[in-house]
Amino acid sequence: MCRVLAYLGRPLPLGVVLYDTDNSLVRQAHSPRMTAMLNLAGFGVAAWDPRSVAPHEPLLYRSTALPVYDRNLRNLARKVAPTCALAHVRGVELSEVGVVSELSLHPFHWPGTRVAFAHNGHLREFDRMRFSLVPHIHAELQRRIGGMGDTEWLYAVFLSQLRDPYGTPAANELADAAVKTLGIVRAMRELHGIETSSPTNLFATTGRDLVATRFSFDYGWYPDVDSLLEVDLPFVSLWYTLGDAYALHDGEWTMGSDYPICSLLLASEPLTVDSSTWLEVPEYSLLVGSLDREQLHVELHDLDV
Amino acid sequence: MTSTSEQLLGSLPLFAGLEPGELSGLLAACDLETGEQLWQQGERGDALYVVEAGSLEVAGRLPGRGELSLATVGPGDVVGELALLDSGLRTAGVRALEPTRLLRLGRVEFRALVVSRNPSARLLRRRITEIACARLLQRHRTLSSTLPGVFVHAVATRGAMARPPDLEYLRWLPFFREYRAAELEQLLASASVERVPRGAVLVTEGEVSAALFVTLNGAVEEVIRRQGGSIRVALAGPGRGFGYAGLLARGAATATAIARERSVVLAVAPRELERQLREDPFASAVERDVVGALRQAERPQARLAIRRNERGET
Repeated sequence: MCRVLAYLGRPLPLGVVLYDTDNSLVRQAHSPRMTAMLNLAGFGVAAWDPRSVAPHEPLLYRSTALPVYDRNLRNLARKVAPTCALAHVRGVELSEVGVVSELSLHPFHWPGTRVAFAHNGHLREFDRMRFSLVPHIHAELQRRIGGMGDTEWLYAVFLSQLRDPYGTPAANELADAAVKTLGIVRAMRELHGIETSSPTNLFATTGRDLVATRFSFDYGWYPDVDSLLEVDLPFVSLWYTLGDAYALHDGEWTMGSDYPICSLLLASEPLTVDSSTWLEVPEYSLLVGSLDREQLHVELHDLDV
Repeated sequence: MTSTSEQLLGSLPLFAGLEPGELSGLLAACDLETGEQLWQQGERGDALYVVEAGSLEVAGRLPGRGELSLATVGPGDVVGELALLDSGLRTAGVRALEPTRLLRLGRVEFRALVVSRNPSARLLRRRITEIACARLLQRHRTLSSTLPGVFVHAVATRGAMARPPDLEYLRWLPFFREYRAAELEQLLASASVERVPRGAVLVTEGEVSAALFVTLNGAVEEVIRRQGGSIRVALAGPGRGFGYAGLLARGAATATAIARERSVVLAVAPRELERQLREDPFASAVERDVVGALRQAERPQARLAIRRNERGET
């Protein structure tokens, strides 16, 4: 099962969350604490810095190299301090059918669009429903799909739910698009009689606003023979912490308690072994975060799709 | 251990019925200076402590806010009892407000006694499970007090009889992971397996639960519902129990259990529950489950505390 990290707030050196904390995202690639699956099938990050050239465009770095040995990533992470980031380490099951390919790396961010997108989960029996999604994807976007993986297709469906797939949607439009995307997938699953558990933690961000879901279709129902049973029995995890800034306090990486609250960290697993200052995003929930003049707004909604 | 210590322990419901001699071999005295930390938030729990003299402050850190004093405990109070059931992280720190004498019961010593099938350890284990259940019910009541509006009543129903999933699958589930196949077959024979549709109510808040339920497939959520809103206090996915805290603490359910997904559940009736609790795999499973339920019930409390903080309330 993949691991994802999303950040919105004050400039934060990427190296802190990728490498420095004792359960950093890169550590979660090879030694995750909350899943039985290794996440060695690629790394990606989209990072926004308002002081950079073309600030609305993220720095996008994706590689099939193992991030723990990726010196380019390590050097880059030391120099970049974004106000928003979406990073992902990809897990695939140990099998002869798993594919490690650049086409499958998250986050997805097609040139000209304003939304980066990642997924922690997997749609079981996706092969059966993939092409039924086509009518729900803008004709222009259909041509941009390069792979057969569920996430890229979900990204295309998601963008197609926006008023303008190339515009910059506000938080509420991102949230609506996430709910509509899940609704379309639900309908296609029903059409094909797919009733197996399919965790669908989605992450979408424009660099100023972000949404994330902690969701599963048909949670608790598994095929008779299933190599992912061990991974999927617990609801796929998602945690958050918030405060004025993520920094070292008394030797521990935690959110500070000064006002205003303007930083949000969201991750498949807490970034520190001491998880006591992290909160779980409730199951079947949609988290919406937006940053407005250094003031962070975070909302949690029940997700009944 | 002094005679004062023995007297104190004898007066505590947790240790009632246990021989003072046995307790003296189990508990060790320790002292804290003013300000000294008994444990830090985020540490792994390894012992239960009884306050013999002095007082302790329980304080926690929440995301985005400083330390918050949660409680003060004094002579006769017990702290950290969940550490005997589970080696999870301490969710709050504890420090001495004055010179304090404590009696410590370590997890390792306690588990060694349980494994040796010592009757006193079994009794103590059952008491701790009951205390954990009572604490869970109290947590639910605290949460319900934050909701406006009147109670929304729902009628509990039972599902249609169903075939259990195969044993190989069941033994993957947290509740049954210590079961041998033969033991699991016996449990299945003494309980019922029921299929319920999404939205079915299995336990009603304010009423005595008809059974201890364990989700086998699907998911059941426990919610506190008022006209002004609702709070989910737990989600019982495959291998997680629900509806039993009231039965073990001899009270009514404090949350309504509703199938979030179409589900298959195992239902253990109250009389059978008493019998099963004397059996080792079942008692261990309930212990683990109630600790998990307590941790789940902390999540909405923490969110409420943050919200109060954002509104500038104390």
